[in-house]
Order: sequence, then structure tokens, then C-alpha cells
Amino acid sequence: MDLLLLSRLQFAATSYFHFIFVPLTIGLSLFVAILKTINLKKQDPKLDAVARFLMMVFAVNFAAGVATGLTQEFEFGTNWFEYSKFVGDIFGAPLAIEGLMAFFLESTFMGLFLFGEKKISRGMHTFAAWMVALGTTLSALWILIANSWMQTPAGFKIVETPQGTKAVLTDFFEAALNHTTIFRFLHTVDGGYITGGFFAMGVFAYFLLKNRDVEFAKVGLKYSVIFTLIVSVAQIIIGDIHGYQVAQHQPLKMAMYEGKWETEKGASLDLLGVVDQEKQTTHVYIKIPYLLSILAYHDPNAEFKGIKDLVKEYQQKSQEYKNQVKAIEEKLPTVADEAEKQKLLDELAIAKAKAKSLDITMDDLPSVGLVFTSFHLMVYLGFLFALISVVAFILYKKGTIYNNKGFLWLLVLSIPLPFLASFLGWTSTEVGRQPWIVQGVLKTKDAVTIHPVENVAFTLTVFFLIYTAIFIAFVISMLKVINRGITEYSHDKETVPVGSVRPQLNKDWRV
Amino acid sequence: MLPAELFTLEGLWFLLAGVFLVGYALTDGFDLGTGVFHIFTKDEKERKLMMNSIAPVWDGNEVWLIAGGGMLFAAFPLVYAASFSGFYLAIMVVLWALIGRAVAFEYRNKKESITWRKTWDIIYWLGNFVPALLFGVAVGNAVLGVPIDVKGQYHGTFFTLLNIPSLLIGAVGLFMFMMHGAAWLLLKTEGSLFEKAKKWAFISWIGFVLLLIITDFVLLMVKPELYNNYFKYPLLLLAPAIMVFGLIYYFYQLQIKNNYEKVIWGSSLAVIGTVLTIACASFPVFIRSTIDPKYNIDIFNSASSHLTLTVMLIVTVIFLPIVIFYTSYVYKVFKGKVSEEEGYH
Repeated sequence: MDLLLLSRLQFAATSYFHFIFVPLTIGLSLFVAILKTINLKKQDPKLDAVARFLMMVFAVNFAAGVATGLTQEFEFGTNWFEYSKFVGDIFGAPLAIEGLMAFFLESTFMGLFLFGEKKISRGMHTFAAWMVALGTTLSALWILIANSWMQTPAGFKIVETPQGTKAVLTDFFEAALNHTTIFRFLHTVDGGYITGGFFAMGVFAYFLLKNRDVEFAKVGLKYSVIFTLIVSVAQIIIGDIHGYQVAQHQPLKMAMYEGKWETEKGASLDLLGVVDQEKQTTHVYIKIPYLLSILAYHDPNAEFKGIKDLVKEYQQKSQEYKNQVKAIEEKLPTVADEAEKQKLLDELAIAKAKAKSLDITMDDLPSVGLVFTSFHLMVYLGFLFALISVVAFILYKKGTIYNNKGFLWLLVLSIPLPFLASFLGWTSTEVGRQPWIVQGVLKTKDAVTIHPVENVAFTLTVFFLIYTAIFIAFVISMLKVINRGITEYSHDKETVPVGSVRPQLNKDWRV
Repeated sequence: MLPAELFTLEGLWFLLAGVFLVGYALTDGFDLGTGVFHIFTKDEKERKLMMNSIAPVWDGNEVWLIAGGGMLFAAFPLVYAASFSGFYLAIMVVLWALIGRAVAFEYRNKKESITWRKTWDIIYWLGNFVPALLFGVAVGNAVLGVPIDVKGQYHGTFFTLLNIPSLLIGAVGLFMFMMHGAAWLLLKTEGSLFEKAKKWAFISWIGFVLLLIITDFVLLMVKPELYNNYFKYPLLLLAPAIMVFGLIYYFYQLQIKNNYEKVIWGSSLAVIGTVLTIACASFPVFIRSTIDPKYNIDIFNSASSHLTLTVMLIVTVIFLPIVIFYTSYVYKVFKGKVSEEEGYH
């Protein structure tokens, strides 16, 4: 195994694992805050118990999210030394702001929210819920600003220093709000809302199927159906806009998404196909003529560039930059004026970096089949979520959802699907950016830390073991909390205010 | 009076990095200390009380570390890149330990099984002990020097880091956290646990003072240049003075006045003083190179551009006070002695 592959595997594995917990945190925190706000006026004890029950579920999830999130903060430095040096001037800022603006907020108010319910007013407790939701959303915003900069970098120049070449910030807002930030953020966060909505629907459907805490589960299901409907339908629109932006700014990735090797005028949208990377072709089984050109360029006859032509274009650009490097290097000794010399040196640094990073061949491409398939599956799942949530809403309006066993089972079995959609989405967007770590500026292979291979193999193995153990503990704890039931969290039943320990549960095993 | 380098944008950021380090040591410091004492008692009720005493705040406290890491990345990328990749295995071990601690809080009490709970107790203890020790070892290596080249690339192994002076600094850190943790328990607990905390506070105070003296002598022998700043700028001696004052105050409130709720002010000053003492000794260098002093990573060759530093300064000046404001509010809500009922379940 080579170092680059192992380092990428470790980053991918730890990130995917972290992202089991992230979307649920984003989704549930908002949903709980909404429920608590509705109940400020309504004062429905059932809804109160539902919110408190979801809060406990949320806490189990939040802990694993915090634990695995630690790795993410430090992994750029540990395994991507050259990357961290190269982009630190730009990429470090959103990470730092995320900590300062978001992590403090969510973690501090999470403590208040979980343990402070009987020490503060109802209003303050609801406020704490909103601060947790705001914290998770801000966290998503800043990390996606960082990620978006890797996808479509802007607002920087390149300089050479004794410690190596690096990108230097020239315009903070241009870098932060680059071409794809806003909709990448909305797309990801809404994915989290869908995850939370489907999770809640599934859990309450489970209670109805088990004929347990029925009156509570009905209340919970009602609100989760409405919530999920809104966020699932919104995703169709957001996803479309985000896709359009990718087409404009990351044409190579878009061509891989769609499996288009050749340039097409009036390109068809290929719904079902198999990519053959060796023969550089995609076998298409179902397609809709002109639709891809319409979606990507809002024009049925627009030209959609294929992978082969794009790679050739990058080659040509690289050659142009190489020529430029030569020209500048020849010119440099003849320039006496300091200001002009500096300007030339700046140009030289950019030309050198571009000549190196744009020098790609067909062999540098990632698995196009993986990008194509994961992207298509994600899109289909997105439509499926909208469909299920619309049907759920109709059945709820008819009042038959609570007794429709088949549909309730469908809701339970759908719980993992939004997680899967998130994984597929990240796979398509991150693998689709290859061979670059920062699109068009720095190649992934030039970004890695040179470690002894066995060190990375060792840490990858340990991560695998620890994360597997955490996942098992997470599932056990989650099932325990769910199986305690919703009525457990009703004030009617309990004398000890909740948000605190239930001594009757612990007595028997206390030593 | 003070080094001229301090009055630059980079110098200001060195101070801010120090603020985050102090923030972390001061808050998560007592969490770690409390956690180290986890195995000092076999009583489940006492263990639970200790965990409950930090349950509402530990997570927010840990953010000082995460935010500090982010700040380091943003302001001094080369320090972030060189230290985290250079100290690779050590950093990973700390990460795994902290991951274990975070999960243990939430999952330990989820299942009514002795094996389940005992397993989490071990994970929880390691999750506190390992970072409490290794943070100091990392700081020790950074100030004493590691083999890094001109590009910041590390040329040693994991065992290069386990040298005696650095391990000593690690032990100083461990006892510092224990001292602080015991003071926290004196503030938050009652009864039998409170009585134990008195002993723990005294023992860790003695340990800290002894280790401090030994480490001081060892450092004077192996790295006398670390004392240069104090000869050049005597005003910096304020830092060790704060530490010594904190230590005296701690002992005074604990052993003489028996005013146990005030002990934590002593350990807080000692923690601040200790972090500042190291920072003043090292300034303006972050990581020394044992290959060639020319390769030292200092505040200038590692800093981000002035634009980035300025943007981050504005963000920090606005948000840090807000963070401190709501954090203080939450601490106020949870003021007073902790009960067995308030915690994870």
C-alpha cells in the first residue's frame, strides 16, 4: 500500500464516520428547537415529552459527533503537512472561526440544555435549544466555506517562501463566499434536516408499530411529517441550483458526474449507465435527450464538454503556463526596478504552481464510475425522499397514517437512507474533485505528509478499531434510550424532573 | 522592558495563542485533573459525583483546545503543520484518548452492566491521564527542540519525543492538572469525596512543587538559553511570580485557612503562571530545531499574511468576549455543590 492511498483512506474513513453523526445533529437540533418553541405557547405535556425524548436521542448522537470531530480539526496537520503549509493562510481562518463562533456556542449551550432544565426558565431552555441549533448550523457554514474554497478557490495569490510555495489571502469575502459556498452550505444543511426528519418519522413510526406510547408517538409523527415535507421538497430546488453552479465552475467534475467522455451538443441526461474507464466510455441504458444541456446551461443546444476534451484543455493551459515561466525567468535578470521585479516574481509563482497543478493526464483521473454512480444514486434518493414525505403528508392529512402498517414500516426502514445519501454526495463531490486537493491549484499527491508508511497503516488500523467500537456503543446506547420509551420523559409520570438521573434505573447496579 | 518583537501583529498573535492555551489549561485542566482522580476511589457514588461535577461544562471546555488548534492553523500554519505531522503518533494517541473520554461521558451510564461500566471507567481514566501527561511532553519537545529541517519537516521518530527533560515537563503538567482538579472538587463536592479531595489537593501540590524544582534544574543544565529572556527582560519574571504566588495562595487556603472554596483561585493563578512562564521562556520561538537554530520556527517565519492575521484579530476581538460572557453565565447556572442526580444517565 502506498502512503498517499493510506493517507487518503484515513481521511476518508474518519470523515465518513464523523458524518454519521453530523447530519443527525444538524437535523435534530433544529427540529427539537422548533418543537420547544411551538410548545412555549401550546404547553402540551405530550409534545413536551416528545421534545425531551428527542433531546436524549440527540445527546447520544452529539457525543459521538464531538468525539469524532476532534480528529477532523487536527488531521490536516497530521497527515496533510504540505497542504496545511500551502493553504494555511486561507484555510485555517474558517476552521478557527468555526471553533470560536460555533463550537463554543453549541457545546456550552448543549451543557445548559441537557443538564440545566430545572435550573432555568422554560424560555431560557428553549433559547438554549436554539443556540445549539445555531451553533451546529454555523459550524456547517464555516467548514463548508473551507471545503468550498478547496472546490472553487478564490480571493488569493501564490507566493514562494523559504518554507515552500503557499497561497496567500488577498480578499477575505471573495475567498469565503466563493462561487459555490452558499448553495453547497444550503444543500448540506438541508441534507441534515432531511436526515433528522426521517430519523424522527422512523422512530415514531416504530413506536406506533409496537403499539407503545401511542398518543405520544402520534404527536411526534405529526410534527416530523410536516418538518420532513418542507425540507425534502426544498432540497430538490437547492440541489438543482448547486448542480448548476458545479457545472459552471467545476466542468471536469460535472463531466464525471454525468459520465460524459465526449463533448456533446444538446447533451442527453443519462439516467442509467455503466462506466468503462479503460475504454473511456459509458454504456447508457436510459437517457433523456437535451435535458443535461438544459440543466447545466439552461439551453437545450448548449455544448457540454466531455472528460477527454477537458483533460486536453488542462494540458494546453499547463503548457501555456510553462511557457510563461520560461519567459518570466528569462526576463527577470534584465529588470532593475524593485516594484516591477516583485510583480514578476508574483506572476512567476502563480505560473509555476499552475503549470504543475494543471499538468494532468487521463491516468490522473479518479474512478469515474464511482463518481458517476454515487452522484446518480444520491439524486435518486433525493427524489425518493421528496416522494415519501409527500405521501406521508397526504396520509397524515387523511388521518390514516397512524394505522397504515406497511407505510409505517417503510418509514422505519427509510431511517438509514438519508445517511447513505450524504455519503454518496460526499463521495461524488470529493472524489470528483480529484486529482486536485485544491481544484486547479494543488494536486492531492503533492499535499500529503511524508510519514513512514507503517505509521499511517498503524493509525488507520487503530482508528478503524476505535471507531468500530464507538459505533457499537453508539447503537447500543441509542437503542437503550429509544427503548426507555417516550412516556419516561413525561412530567406526569415522573417526580424527579427530567434532565437528571432516574435513580430507579440505576439503583440495582450501583456498587 | 519587553521584547520589541511582542509589539508586532505576529507578537500580538503569539499572545492570543497564549490566551487560548491558558483558556484550555484553566478550564479543561480541572476536567482532566478530576478524571485522573477517577481511579483514586473505588466508590461508584463518588466516581459519579466527580463526573457529574464536570458533566455540564467539560464539552465547552474542550472547545478551547479545538478552537486553539484552529487559531494556530490560521495564524501560524507552519507551527500547526510541523508540530502535528512531526509529533504524529503522540498527537494520535492524545486524540484517541480524548475521543474515548468524550464517548465515555455519554455512554458509561447507558447500560446497567458492571462489565460495561468498568470498561468505560478504564477508557475514561486513560482519556484524562494520557492527555494530561502528553500535553506537557509536547510543549517540552517544542521548547527544547526537535529535529526539523528548513521546510519544517520532522526527521525524528516517536521515541525521539520521549526524552527525560520533556517527560519531566509532562509530569509537571500532569500534577498541575491534578492540583487544579482537586481544587475543583473542593469547590463542587461534599462529604466523603470532599475529604478525599483535601488529601489529593495536598499530595498534588507537593508533587507539583517538587517536580517544578527538579525540572528547573534539569532545564538549566540542558537548555540554559531558555532563561535568556528573563535576564534580558526582567519584567517577564512576573509570569513565574504569578505561578509562585498562586502556589503559596493554594497552600495557604488549603492547609492554614482551611477556606476550601478559595483553593481554586490558587491553582488558577498557578496554571496561568506556568503557561506564561513557558511562553515567555520560548518567545519568539514556537519550535526549536536541533538540526540548526536557523530552522527554528518562530512567530515571523510561521505567521500568516497580515491580512489574514488582521481578519482573524477582528473576529477574535468580537467573538471571544461573547464566548466568555455566555460561558460565565452557564457556570453561574451550575454554581454550587453538585448532587448525584445531576449528570449523564
